[in-house]
Amino acid sequence: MIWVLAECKGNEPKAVTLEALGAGRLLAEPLNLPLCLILPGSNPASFARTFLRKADKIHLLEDPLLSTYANDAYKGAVTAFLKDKAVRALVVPGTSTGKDLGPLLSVSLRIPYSQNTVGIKVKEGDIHLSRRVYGGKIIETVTTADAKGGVIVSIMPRAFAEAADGKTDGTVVSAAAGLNEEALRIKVRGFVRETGQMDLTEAPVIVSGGRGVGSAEGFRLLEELAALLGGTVGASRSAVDAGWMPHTVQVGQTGRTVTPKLYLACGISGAPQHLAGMTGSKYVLAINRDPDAPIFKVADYGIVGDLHKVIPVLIEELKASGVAKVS
Amino acid sequence: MIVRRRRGILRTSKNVDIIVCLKRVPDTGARVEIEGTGVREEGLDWVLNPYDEFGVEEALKIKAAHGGKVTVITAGAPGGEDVLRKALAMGVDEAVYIKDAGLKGADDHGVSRVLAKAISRTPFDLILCGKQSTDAQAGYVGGALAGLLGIPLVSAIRELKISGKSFEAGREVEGGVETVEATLPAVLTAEKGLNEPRYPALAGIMRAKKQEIKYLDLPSLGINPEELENPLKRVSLTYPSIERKGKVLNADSGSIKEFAGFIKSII
Ligand SMILES: Cc1cc2nc3c(=O)[nH]c(=O)nc-3n(C[C@H](O)[C@H](O)[C@H](O)COP(=O)(O)OP(=O)(O)OC[C@H]3O[C@@H](n4cnc5c(N)ncnc54)[C@H](O)[C@@H]3O)c2cc1C
Ligand SMILES: Nc1ncnc2c1ncn2[C@@H]1O[C@H](COP(=O)(O)O)[C@@H](O)[C@H]1O
Repeated sequence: MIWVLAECKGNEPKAVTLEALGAGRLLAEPLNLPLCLILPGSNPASFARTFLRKADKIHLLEDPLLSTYANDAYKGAVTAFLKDKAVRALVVPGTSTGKDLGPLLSVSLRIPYSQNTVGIKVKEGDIHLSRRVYGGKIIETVTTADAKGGVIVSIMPRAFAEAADGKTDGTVVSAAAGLNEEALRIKVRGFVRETGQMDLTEAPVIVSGGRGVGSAEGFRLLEELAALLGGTVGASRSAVDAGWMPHTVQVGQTGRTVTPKLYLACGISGAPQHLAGMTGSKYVLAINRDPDAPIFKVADYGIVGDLHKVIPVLIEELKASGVAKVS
Repeated sequence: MIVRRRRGILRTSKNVDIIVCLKRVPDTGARVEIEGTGVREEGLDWVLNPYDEFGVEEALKIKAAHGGKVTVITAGAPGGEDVLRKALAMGVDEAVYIKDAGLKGADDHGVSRVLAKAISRTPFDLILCGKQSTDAQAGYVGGALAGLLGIPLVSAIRELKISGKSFEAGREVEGGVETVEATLPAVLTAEKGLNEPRYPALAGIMRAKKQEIKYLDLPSLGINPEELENPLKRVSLTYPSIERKGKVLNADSGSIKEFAGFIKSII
């Protein structure tokens, strides 16, 4: 069977779950296996409807101890649920949750783990997974050595299209999580939000700034542009190291890997460590005063000029053209 | 298991004995080229995985505050001495090198098993790993060690406070920091922002040159290299197509208008 583990924030499933289902479908259809969704939480039934047309079967893994993510509770529940079931693949979203949980499940379920997956193909019954290595400089394709062996597929956010609706509704069944509170050792105490309402890995548009922005105040201009486009602001390491922006918004090898629809790099030279985090974006645009800046090599469109002069004009142009926000 | 016995000791002792896992990786700025079914290793500059530097620094800070011993360990061949010496120069107490040609074909799971076997032979309170290695980018080994040793995992930490047997860690998650509490022994993986790694002082570099590295191999750990075979077979390595034939214009009112039009057309 092809399993997909839903990603929930608080008690709500997140949109990446639909991408994981899309990835799962790429396996389920050619392998002719049912696509099954595991929906954990304290009241997963209330979300099942969202996924009715997306999976053949939806398993509600219900327990008050699953209301917020903690790796030992999730690991315990998912392991107990899957351990006596056939697993050809288990797709998990490559978010902070999936990256935390995936390796733990790989050990407890005794199946290999493939991270940062950006491509899935089935060839003559074999699962081929393509993943980013060396900061995205190379794509490695792997297959399970044991032709029937299972694999945990952690997918890159936005690398796969969301699952389309199927013809019929899937069935919904409940499963016991069987958790014992005493055995849980990880206690989640709280969450402090550092970025705006939108996280970088979820933003459809990222306006990113580097050393060329010049100051923390300089980022206000980028924020204005980002807000106009319905996106959020990112930064290079130089801008983070200078203290202009928090590390949570750093893009690159030692920051976030982002894949928005539009990535606009302002005053960023395009060092390999920065490119490692953003070349998966659908469109890359750049503003830089140096015509030879490497960022232009990976950009679809570039403007050579001083960003402090270009961006205000750009904002006016966009306003004048009545630009609609990305949904 | 030693881990369990150690728990008893912890109640009476304030010391925190730490194991930091180190990996040698190509410099992140390096040009990585495909050669046959692998990457060309010749001519690459190798460094200590940047996330592991945060691990070493954190261990040294914990030692300064609580006392205890810091041991670094690396598995693989060859060249691991370099990263161990860097950590010794930073000030760690002991260095262990699991050097065995049989590790060449091992995947992350195999490496984790070997590390777990070696680590379980010494008493410890805390294992620090990097959030991920910059080459494999798997982020696997830390979690796998926690799973194999049966101890809690807190990944991608940016803050850490240890008091006695318990600790509180700030994990970097989408949009912010999540506070998690658990008890030692545990595995923590380091995210950027946890600390600023120190530069080794000259005296440290000189001392590190003379310090002894303890070598282990697979037979001494009772592991048969065949058990380490990778369950995922490599099919190919390719370059991603990231070169875009972009249009680059000089800034003037006309080109900015065109640029705005392009943005409008794609969003
Ligand atoms: C181990 C390691 C990990 C790293 N991880 C990351 C990472 O995760 N993310 C990351 O970004 N970097 C990372 N780096 C750093 C990386 O190598 C670069 O140093 C960094 O990306 C440079 O940032 P920058 O482009 O903002 O600055 P610079 O390289 O200084 O470029 C500034 C650019 O702004 C342009 N400019 C200046 N003024 C203006 C203006 N007024 N208008 C328009 N353009 C202007 C300049 O022409 C130049 O191209 C890492 C480095 C190492 C060694
Ligand atoms: N060969 C190795 N020897 C020792 N530690 C390792 C090795 N490989 C990975 N690690 C540790 O595991 C972390 C995550 O690596 P990875 O799972 O490869 O992304 C690294 O930052 C190291 O702390």
